[in-house]
Amino acid sequence: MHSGKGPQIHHSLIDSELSTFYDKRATGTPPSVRNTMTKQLLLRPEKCTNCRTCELVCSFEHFGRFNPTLSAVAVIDFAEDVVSVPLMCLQCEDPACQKVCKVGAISVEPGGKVVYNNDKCILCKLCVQACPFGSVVYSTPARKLLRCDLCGDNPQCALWCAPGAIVYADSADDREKRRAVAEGFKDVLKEDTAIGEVA
Amino acid sequence: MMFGWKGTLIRVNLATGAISKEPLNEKLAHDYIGARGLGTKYYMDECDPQVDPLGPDNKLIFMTGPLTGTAAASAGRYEVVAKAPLTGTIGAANSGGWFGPEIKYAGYDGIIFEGVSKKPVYLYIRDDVVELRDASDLWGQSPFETTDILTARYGENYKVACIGVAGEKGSLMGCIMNDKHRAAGRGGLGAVMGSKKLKAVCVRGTGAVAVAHPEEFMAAAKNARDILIADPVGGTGLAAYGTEVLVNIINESGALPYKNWRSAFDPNADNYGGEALAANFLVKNKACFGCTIACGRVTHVTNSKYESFGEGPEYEAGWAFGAATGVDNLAAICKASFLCNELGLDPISMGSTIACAMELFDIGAIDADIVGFELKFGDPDAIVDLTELTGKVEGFGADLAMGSYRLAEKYGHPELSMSVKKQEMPAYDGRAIQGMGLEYATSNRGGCHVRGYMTSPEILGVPVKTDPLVTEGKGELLKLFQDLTALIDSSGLCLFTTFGCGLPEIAAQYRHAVGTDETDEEILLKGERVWNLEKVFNIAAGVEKDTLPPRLLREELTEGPAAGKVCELDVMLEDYYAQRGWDSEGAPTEEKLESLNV
Repeated sequence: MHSGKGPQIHHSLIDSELSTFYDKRATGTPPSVRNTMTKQLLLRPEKCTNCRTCELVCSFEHFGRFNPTLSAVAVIDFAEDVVSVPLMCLQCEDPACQKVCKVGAISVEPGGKVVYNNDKCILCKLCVQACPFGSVVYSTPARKLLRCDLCGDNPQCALWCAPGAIVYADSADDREKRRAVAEGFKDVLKEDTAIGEVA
Repeated sequence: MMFGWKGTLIRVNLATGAISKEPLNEKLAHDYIGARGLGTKYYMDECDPQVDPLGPDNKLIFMTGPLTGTAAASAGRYEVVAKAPLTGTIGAANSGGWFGPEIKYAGYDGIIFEGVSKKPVYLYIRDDVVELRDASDLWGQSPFETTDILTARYGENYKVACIGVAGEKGSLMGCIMNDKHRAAGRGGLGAVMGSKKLKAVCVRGTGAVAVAHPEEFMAAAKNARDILIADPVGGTGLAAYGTEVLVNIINESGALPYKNWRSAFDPNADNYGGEALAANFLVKNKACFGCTIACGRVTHVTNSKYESFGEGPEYEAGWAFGAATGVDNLAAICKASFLCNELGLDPISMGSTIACAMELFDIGAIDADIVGFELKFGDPDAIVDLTELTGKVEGFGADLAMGSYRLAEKYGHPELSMSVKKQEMPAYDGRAIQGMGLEYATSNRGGCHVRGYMTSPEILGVPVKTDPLVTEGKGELLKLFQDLTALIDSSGLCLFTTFGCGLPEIAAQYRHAVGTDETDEEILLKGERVWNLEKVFNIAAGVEKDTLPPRLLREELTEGPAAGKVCELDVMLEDYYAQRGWDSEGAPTEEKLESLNV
């Protein structure tokens, strides 16, 4: 019995298999040839049920295992207020992570996608500190930066999100919210018409 | 390296404080899967079936399944196994939420608790670190407070399973609560935990769960999820109205037990069904770990003297505090249901026991001196006040806390307990849904709807529609449902995945997680093995034979589609035992056990 002792975190637990899986995947992905990125990750927290499937499939995509602590997306839950918000890197066009990177490992493709070059990266973790959104995280066991790379233009979080809280789409085509607003007008105008007819 | 399973168990001796880790028995894991099946197998290999459920020799096992913590459809569940004090049967209760996956991420398949601690303790787990810690300050706190204290102490990522005051004080309807609102509810396992002076298990894991065939597994998981999303019940029905959507469906079938099962139609059911809940108090639906269904209800009761905030009520709780007691005040039903979570009580047994007390009062077997007030069917204050008294095991609540059978027996009318093997039956009348009657009678943990949910084929038409009033074919169908459910529970999946998924989807996820080439039928056979194992325990424990309360066997329903019906149990039992390959007394034969390698 050791009551009152604080939690012990074993930082010695570095898992080489995680790192290897990640590296293989990174080498296996050809450099992006797209010069236009038309789709963005769109977040609709009002639909999030806090099931956190996004965290599971993100860790699986990048490390081959289920481990929510190895996910580039995190769902922040405000249980008392019944609100949960999925958050990940949304690909800044003028990213702070790039500005602080001293080895030129971070670049922005013409289409706007932020690319991390793992061969150049020295894991100094300045990008972790610099990101104002907390969307770059360092994993000790994997010795990798956890940051959204859009899964080669097929983000698994969006693919698996049943309630549609994370969607991968062209925001110019995304009229869902505007449609909801427009529906209010529709109802008003229909009522007016009905009144007009009665009159 | 094992896939699906983590390969390690924690063993905690509460009497000595000794904690050890041991490799998971791979052969047993292969044969009994995990969670309910594997937990029961470990329990039976180590415990005498005649053990006193609240004594030091009863063990308490928390066990996850090989799919728990993976991306399989709705795979967040764990099982608690011990001899159940309410029934004397094998007790196995499972729960969703987040606690089960966290045990896996910490690196374990389960925890075996032995003995009794001298003072209140809780088990702290942070990956490799496993320690018993002093719980003096937590004893007497609600599951909500306990969880808040522990997460404030260690961090919001810690997951907590704990008992409430009901479990501490030995109520036979005491639950084990996790993630505040989720419960391993039935059989009184909270009282077992309380008898051991174990207040809580608090866990944080940062490790991973791996699967054997990654690509095939993800394809199987995605397929199962897509099927669920497209299903009218699993996809939209449960998301929109939660399990309470069933109230009106079951009531229209004349199968909603009313006023302690005197009839099976509630004229006021509209007032508290899923639609009423959604219209009045629902804030939002909420999911457990990795679940597309999101049947959980966050509910806020306002503008009422029953003002309250919580999760639920689920269909069963809505019925137990509603139709069973004749109450139709939704605010009071919500409040009583929330109180169950706060006190750590099983709402099915709670509401049903109040209903039984109401009938005892109605026939004059108990009076206002015993209860403390005039206990009338339909009184919304009664369900709230008596739930509180029961959770605290005070006054008349001390009688109620022992369940309806012991209550009714004490006051001379055991026949008025609507229970099987002393556990209260849930919200489907076995006279109007014949297969449910057979299910209650044969359930290995006493009156229960989630051991072989015959309402699915008989009322909802999933996967095939059968006539709820006929008895033919029910034995064969129930055997299949029971075996499949044992497989699902043992895998770590939620039973609600069967609102869409069948054996092929479930078996595929299991197969690719653990890396086996067994056929669907071979995997289903594991479920049958689990079922037979549980039955072997119950026979050795001397549990009473399979039957139903006399009301269901003798008193005909008077209205609705099942008017004139009783539950024709005898004819169904004979057929069922034959389907199971058991003898006419309902005992597994030597040949059967041998063929299943039990």
